[in-house]
Amino acid sequence: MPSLPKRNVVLGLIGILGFFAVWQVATWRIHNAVLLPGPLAMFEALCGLCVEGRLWGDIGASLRRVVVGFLIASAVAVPLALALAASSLLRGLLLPIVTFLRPIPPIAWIPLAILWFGLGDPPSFYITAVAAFFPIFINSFSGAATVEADHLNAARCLGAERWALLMRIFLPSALPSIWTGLRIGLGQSWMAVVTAELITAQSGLGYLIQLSRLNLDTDVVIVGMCVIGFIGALMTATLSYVERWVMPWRHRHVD
Amino acid sequence: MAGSRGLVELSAIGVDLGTGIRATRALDDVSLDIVPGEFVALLGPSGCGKTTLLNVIAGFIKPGSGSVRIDRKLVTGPSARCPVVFQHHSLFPWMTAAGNVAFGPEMLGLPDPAAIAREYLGLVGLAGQGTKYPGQLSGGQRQRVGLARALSIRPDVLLLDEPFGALDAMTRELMQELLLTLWERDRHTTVFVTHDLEEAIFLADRVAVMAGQPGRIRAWIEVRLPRPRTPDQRHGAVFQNILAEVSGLVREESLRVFQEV
Repeated sequence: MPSLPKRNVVLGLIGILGFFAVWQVATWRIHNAVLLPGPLAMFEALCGLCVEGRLWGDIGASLRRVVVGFLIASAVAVPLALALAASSLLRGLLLPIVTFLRPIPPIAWIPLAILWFGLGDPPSFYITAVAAFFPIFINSFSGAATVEADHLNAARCLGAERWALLMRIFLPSALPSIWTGLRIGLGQSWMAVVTAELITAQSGLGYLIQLSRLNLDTDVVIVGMCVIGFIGALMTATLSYVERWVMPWRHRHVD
Repeated sequence: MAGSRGLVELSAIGVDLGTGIRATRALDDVSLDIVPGEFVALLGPSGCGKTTLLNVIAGFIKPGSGSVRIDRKLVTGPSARCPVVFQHHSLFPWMTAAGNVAFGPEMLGLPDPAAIAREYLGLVGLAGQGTKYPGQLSGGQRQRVGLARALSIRPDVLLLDEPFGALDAMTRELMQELLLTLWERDRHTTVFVTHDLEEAIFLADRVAVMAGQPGRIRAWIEVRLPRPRTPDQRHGAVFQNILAEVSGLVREESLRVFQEV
């Protein structure tokens, strides 16, 4: 079935071109570059920013904050989720805290983040980490908690002890869910970095949008938004693509 | 190895499953002794407690009363002395066939697990399939990997829980013959749970016919067929006579349960 993806690509392109067309017609009607600059104006602004080189710096700053926060969140959330799934003592102690902290949106952490870490990168690291933590934790936990009893029993009667059960049975059982968590977490983290930069940073795509808004450079605001959307989609697609190497068994079936 | 290790002794095992109003007496006062190297089948209709009994021997279920001993040593939990071959879905899907078989030797710190895996995959006729994942294997192939995985740690006692129940009739007969070939080689004590009468008789030295509610052993049938067993014995008079006897017992028991419900 090689025609199906190809068909989707064509349909997707038609959809995007249609979107730009509607947008362009709307800008002609509204005729106000501050209220709604057209796609052509946006591409001009995009080229300008690229040539100027400023865009790359902002993209780099945002990406760095997301990557650092995301890595911190993953390094804490995955082991914690596995430990809670494996130990009823830890589960009893810590699960209520997680349940209570989870509904607090990352934005609500910004005041504390600024108080604790000042301005610049550190509060952004904190916000992106908080945003990524909960999806990663919740998915990893549910994945590890649904490990098959037969797999555990089989491993135990083949001589596996606690550590081996955790690393060789719980972890790979949970990996598909962990991966889902990582994908969602990265997306959340990316969304949160923009929010954090609107308020606390002096660089990054969020800062670019905020600054351009104040200067009434609406075309640059829209460039920022589009770049955010594009990079976010690219990150999700990359993780989906990498999945076949992380979990080869999920992609090989009876020929 | 035969005759030395793999003595299984169960005395007065009682197991209650569930709690409160839904509690059932899964096993009631079950005692049995299996001598080293013996092949025993636990036969009975579903719900008679045969799988529960196997899980008690494996150490997965702690009996409410009574004790399990393997080679005089009290069983308190699962151990690598008596691995289990399950009915299905028990291969680790994230490991290749070779990885599954090498898992036990790795856990036990045996030298060169990969070589052991190759040897046992070869024994079950899957020499060239080591790099495949369980999802790429047929049902029969998966059960052969499951068998190789359990045998690769050279168990004293091998436990099998309806391992061929989900296979088609022809594959099942071939698997039975393969199992017997491997058993003749090592003569590990074997406990085989099944609801298939012919399977129990063809494989076992002794068949425990179980009855349910509460689960218990109703009768022992000795299978005096010469070994090594051959497929044509299935049609012989001795086999058919035992089949008729066991069939009567099981039918009686199934009918009783059927009418009670």
